[in-house]
Amino acid sequence: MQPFSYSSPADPRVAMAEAAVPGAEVLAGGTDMMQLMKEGQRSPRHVVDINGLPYRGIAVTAEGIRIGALTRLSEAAEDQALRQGWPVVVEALEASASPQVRNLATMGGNLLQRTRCLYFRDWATPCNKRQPGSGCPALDGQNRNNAVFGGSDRCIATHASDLAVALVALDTLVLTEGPNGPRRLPLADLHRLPGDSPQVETVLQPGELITALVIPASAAARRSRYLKLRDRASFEWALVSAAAGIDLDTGGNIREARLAVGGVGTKPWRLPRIEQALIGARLSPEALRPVAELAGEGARPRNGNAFKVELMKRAIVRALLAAGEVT
Amino acid sequence: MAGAVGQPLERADGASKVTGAARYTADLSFPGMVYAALAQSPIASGRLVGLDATEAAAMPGVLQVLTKDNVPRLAPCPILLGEEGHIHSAGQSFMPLQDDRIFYSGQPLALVVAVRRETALAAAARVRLTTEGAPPAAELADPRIPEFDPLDRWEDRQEGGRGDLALGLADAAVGIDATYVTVLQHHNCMEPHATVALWDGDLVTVYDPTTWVQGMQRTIATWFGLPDDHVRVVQHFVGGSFGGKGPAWPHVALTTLAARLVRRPVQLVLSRRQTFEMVGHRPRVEHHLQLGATGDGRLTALAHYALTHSSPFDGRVVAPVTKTSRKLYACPNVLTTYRMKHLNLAGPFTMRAPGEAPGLFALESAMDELAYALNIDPVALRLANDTTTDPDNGRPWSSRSLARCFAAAATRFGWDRRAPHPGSMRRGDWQVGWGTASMAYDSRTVPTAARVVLFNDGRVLAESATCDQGTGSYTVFPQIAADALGVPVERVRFALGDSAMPTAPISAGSMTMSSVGSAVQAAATRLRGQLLRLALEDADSPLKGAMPATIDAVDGVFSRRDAPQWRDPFVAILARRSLDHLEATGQVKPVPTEDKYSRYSFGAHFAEVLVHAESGELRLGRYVAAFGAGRIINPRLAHSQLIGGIVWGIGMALSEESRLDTRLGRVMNASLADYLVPVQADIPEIDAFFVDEADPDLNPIGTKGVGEIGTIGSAAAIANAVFHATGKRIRDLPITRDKLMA
Ligand SMILES: Cc1cc2nc3c(=O)[nH]c(=O)nc-3n(C[C@H](O)[C@H](O)[C@H](O)COP(=O)(O)OP(=O)(O)OC[C@H]3O[C@@H](n4cnc5c(N)ncnc54)[C@H](O)[C@@H]3O)c2cc1C
Ligand code: SF4
Repeated sequence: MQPFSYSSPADPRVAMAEAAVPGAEVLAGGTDMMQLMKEGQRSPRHVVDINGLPYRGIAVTAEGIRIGALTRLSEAAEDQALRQGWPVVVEALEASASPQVRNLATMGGNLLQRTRCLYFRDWATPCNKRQPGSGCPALDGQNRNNAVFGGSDRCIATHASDLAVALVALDTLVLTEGPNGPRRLPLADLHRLPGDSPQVETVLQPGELITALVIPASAAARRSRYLKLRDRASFEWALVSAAAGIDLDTGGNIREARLAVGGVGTKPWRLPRIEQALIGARLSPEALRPVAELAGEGARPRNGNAFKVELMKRAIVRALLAAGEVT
Repeated sequence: MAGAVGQPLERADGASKVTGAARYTADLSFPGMVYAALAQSPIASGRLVGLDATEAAAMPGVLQVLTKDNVPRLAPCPILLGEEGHIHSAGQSFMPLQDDRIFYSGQPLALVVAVRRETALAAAARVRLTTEGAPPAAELADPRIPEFDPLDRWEDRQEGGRGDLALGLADAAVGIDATYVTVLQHHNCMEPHATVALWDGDLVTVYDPTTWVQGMQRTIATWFGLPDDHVRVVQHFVGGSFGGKGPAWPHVALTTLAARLVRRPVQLVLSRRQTFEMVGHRPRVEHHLQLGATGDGRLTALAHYALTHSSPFDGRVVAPVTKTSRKLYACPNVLTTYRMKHLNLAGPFTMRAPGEAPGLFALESAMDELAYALNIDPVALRLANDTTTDPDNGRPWSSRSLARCFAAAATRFGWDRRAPHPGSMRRGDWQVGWGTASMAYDSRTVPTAARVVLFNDGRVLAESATCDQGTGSYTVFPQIAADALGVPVERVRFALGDSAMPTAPISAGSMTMSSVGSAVQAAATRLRGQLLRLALEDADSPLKGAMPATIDAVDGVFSRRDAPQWRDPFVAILARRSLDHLEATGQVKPVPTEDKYSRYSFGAHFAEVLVHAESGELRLGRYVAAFGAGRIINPRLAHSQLIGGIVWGIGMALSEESRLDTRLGRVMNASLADYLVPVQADIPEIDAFFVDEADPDLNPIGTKGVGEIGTIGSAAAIANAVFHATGKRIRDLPITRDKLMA
C-alpha cells in the first residue's frame, strides 16, 4: 500500500469534486477497495470516504423500491418490504460473502466491485485490466472463474457481483450524481463490455457517484428466486448463478419471465431471448430444458470454464422451477 | 478418586485465545522495534540482473534495503528429515539474497527495513527489479523434466517390497490398474508466519511460531556461525501449523540478519500470499496403483508407484506416500517405488498426514474399485486382508483395532442398509452414496525431556521445549503431571516454547502427546519419589519409616493406605526442609532399533454424500469414523482433533487445490477467498469416536497420536461415496463439480 491522503466530506458536491481529481478513489464499505490497495492493485493518491453522504436507507415508492447506495448489504437483506416484493434480491444478498462483510459492504460498492480474476488480483502477473496493454494470461491460464459471455481477446473477466445479477433481471435503475448533474440509467447500461479497453469498466464519469438504486415492482419480481452454485457451500463468489422471476397465467404457464445469470458474463448477464422463449412454457424440467439450451448460444468457453455452459443451463432450469414454488 | 487423565478438560488457553489476550508473534512489540517487508521475484526461474533501490531507500523512515550486494553470506544448513542425527530444521537448502539465482516465483530479492510497517511495505513495492527469465519447470507430467530418486530419506524407505509382483499380478483373478492424483496444497493456518529478532551483542533471541524451537535455534546458530547457546528461540502460541511451521524458513534468516544490520529489533509478518510462496506446501503426487486379488478378495499383488516433486535445489521426501501401502494389508507380492522431479517451487514440506493422507487416498480408492470389480462389500474386502503382523517386517502389531473400528463405525453408520450398486440409492432429487476407507498411521515416540517443579505454595510447573499449535499441550500435560505427582490438575501449569527448556522434538507426526507426555510423566514420577524420600527420612514426618509402596499421593498429600489419618502434605515436606521448590527432570528414551513391535493406529471412515441429479451439486450427508489410538488422555481435545482431521479430509476431497499457472510457475489462487478450505456449511454432522484400546507396548503412557488420523483415508471414503452415488470414479482430487459433470 502506498501513502495517500484521506477525506470524509459531508457535502456531496465536495465529494464529487475531490473524486473527479485524477488519482482519487472513492471508499464506501471498503471491503473491496482496501484489499485492492493493500495488494497494490490500486494506489490512489487521495481517498474520498463517502460514508458521510446522505445515501443510506430504503423506501418503497410508487415506482418500486428505492435503496440508497450506502445502504449496507445486511440492512437490505433484512428489509421486509424487499423480501416480500423482490425476494431474488434478498436471496442474492444472503448468498454473498459473509455476515461480517455484509455488515460493512454497501449496495453501490457491490455493483462496482472489481473482478475476481486471479490474474487481476496478483501483482506479479500481466493483466490488461490492471495494466493496460500487458496481456491477458487468463485466456489460456487459470480461468475457472472467468467468463464465457461478453469477453474479448483482451479480457474475459467475470463481473463477480451476485446482487447485480438479481438487479439486472428486474430492470433496476441506477441513480447517479456527478459534476455534470444527476442521471438515471438502467443497470444493464452501467457496465461496459471489455472490448479493447477492459480497464474501463463502467460508463460512470470521473467524480460521478451512485446515489441510489430503484427496483421496479412487478409480479415477476415478487415470484423470484436466486440460485447460486459454487465449489463450497458459502463464502465464495458464484461459479454460476441464476436469478429468475416469473409471472404465471391462470393455467400455471409462464406469462412473463425475468432471467439473468452470474459467473459467466463480463457484466451482469441478462438473457432476453430466453425470457421471450419462456413465455407460455409449462413449469416442468422437460419443458424448460430445451429453452435453457438456447442460453448456450454465443458462449465462448476456454479450457478451464467450459463446464459452466452446461452448469448454467441446469441452473436456469432449477432457478425457474424454484421461482414457480414461491407463493 | 478419579485422576485428571481421561477427563474432558477444556482448553487451558481457550479463554485467552477467544478474548484476544493470547499474544502471537505478530502481536509482539519491543522498544525500538522496526519492520521488514520483502521485494519478491515475479518470475519463477532465471536471474536477477538489476536492482534499483534508490527510490525505496530515499523514502522517509526507511532504514536499510538489504540485497544480495550488501548482506553478509550465511553458512548453509543441512535439511535432513527423519534421519538419525537430524537436529536442524532448515526448510530448504537455498538461501535468498546470497546470489543472483531465481528458483521460484515470490522468492525474496530484497528486504526493506523501516520504522513503520506501512513504510516498509510501500518501499518494498518501489524496489525496481530487473529479471531475466527462462520458462519454469512447473508441470509434474512434463516428460521433458527428468526424474530422480529421493536424495534424503525418512527412517522408513519409500521404495521396497516383498515377493514377486509380476507373479502376484499373473495369479490374480481380478486386477485394478489406475492412476490417482493428489494435488498441490498449502497449509493455510490462520496465523501467518511471523518473526521477531532481537540481538544483544552476539546473543540473539528470535520469536517465531515454529513448532520446533530447538531445531530453529540450531539452524540459526549454523546460518550465523554462532554457538547454539548464543541463540534463543521463543514461542508461546502457534496459530496452527499443520507441518508448515516446523522448519526455519529463509525469511527467519533474513529477519535475523536484518536485525543484526540495523541494530534494532526487527519484525517480519508474511502476507497470506507470501505463505503460498515460501513456507512449504504439500506436493502434487501421481500415484500409479496396481492391485491383484483372488476371486474371494484376497490380495495377491499390490504396487504403488509414486511420482512427486521437490524444489530445484533439494530432493528430500516430504510426502512419504508409499510406505504404508506395504503395511496395511496382508499381501504376499508388493512393490513400492518413489521418484521425483525438480520443479520451480520453493521447498515443499510435510502437511498434516504428509504420507498417508495422499497415499491412502490412492490405495483406498483402488481397494474400492477392487471391491466393485469383485462384487464384494468394501468393508468385507478390507477385513479379508486384515493381518496380525506388519507384513512389511514380520513384526506383530503392538495393537491393531482395524476390524473393531470397521465393526463399530459400520453399525453406527447403518452400513448394512447399503444397496451395493452405484446410483441405486436416492433421496428426492439427490443421488445418495455411501463410501468407506481404512485408516493407518505410524505411532511414534521419540527422545524427549521434561522438567517438573513443585513450589512451596503447592503450585506445580511442568515444562518442555514443545509447542501448542492449537492441539492442547497446555491442557493435557498438566493432566499427566497431576496424576503422576498426585496433585489436583488446577495446580499444574505447563510452560513450553523456549529453546532453553528441556529437549523436545519437532511437534509433528502426531508424536507430541506420546513423547512429551511420557517425559512429563517420567519427571513427575521422579519428583514424587524424591519428595516421598524426603518425607520418609524425616523424623518430623508422620510417615517416617513407612514403606514407600504403602503410600498414596492424592491432592498434594502423602498418606498411608492402611492408616489414612497418617498424612504429610507436600508443602509441609518442603517447609520443614526450608526448600522453596523441588524439581526433577525425566526423559523418554529412543525405541531400540531391534524392536519387537510395529506400532500403528488404525481406523475406519464412513461417508455419505448427496449429489444433485440435475446440477451435480455435492453435499456431505453424514460422516462416521472410528479410531483405535491407545489411551485417550483428554477425550474432548482428542475428539476435536478427529473432527478437525476429518474436516481437512473433506477439504482435500472436495475443494482444496493450489492452482498453478504452469507458464508462470505461480500459484494463482493464493488467498483464502480463492484457495477453498471448507466452511462450516460444508461440514455435516461428524460422529467420530475411539474404540477402547489398551496398548502398554507403545510407550510409558500408552498413547498413539490423534492429530493426523482423522485426515487419513477420509478423502478416499468421500470419493468412494461419490462413486457409489453416481457411478463416476474421480481419481484426481479435488472432486469438483466440473469433474462430476464430465
Ligand atoms: C471475503 C469476501 C467475500 C465476498 N463474497 C462475495 C459474494 O459472494 N458475492 C458478491 O457479490 N460479493 C462478494 N464480495 C464482494 C463484496 O460484496 C463487495 O466487496 C462489496 O459489496 C463492496 O462494497 P463496499 O461498500 O465495501 O465497496 P468499496 O470497497 O468501498 O468500493 C468498491 C468500489 O466501488 C466504488 N464505490 C463504492 N461506492 C460507490 C458509490 N456510491 N459511487 C461510486 N463509486 C462507489 C469504490 O470507489 C470502489 O471502486 C465479497 C467480499 C469479500 C471481502
Ligand atoms: S481476464 Fe481480464 S482481468 Fe483477467 S487477466 Fe485477462 S485482462 Fe486481466
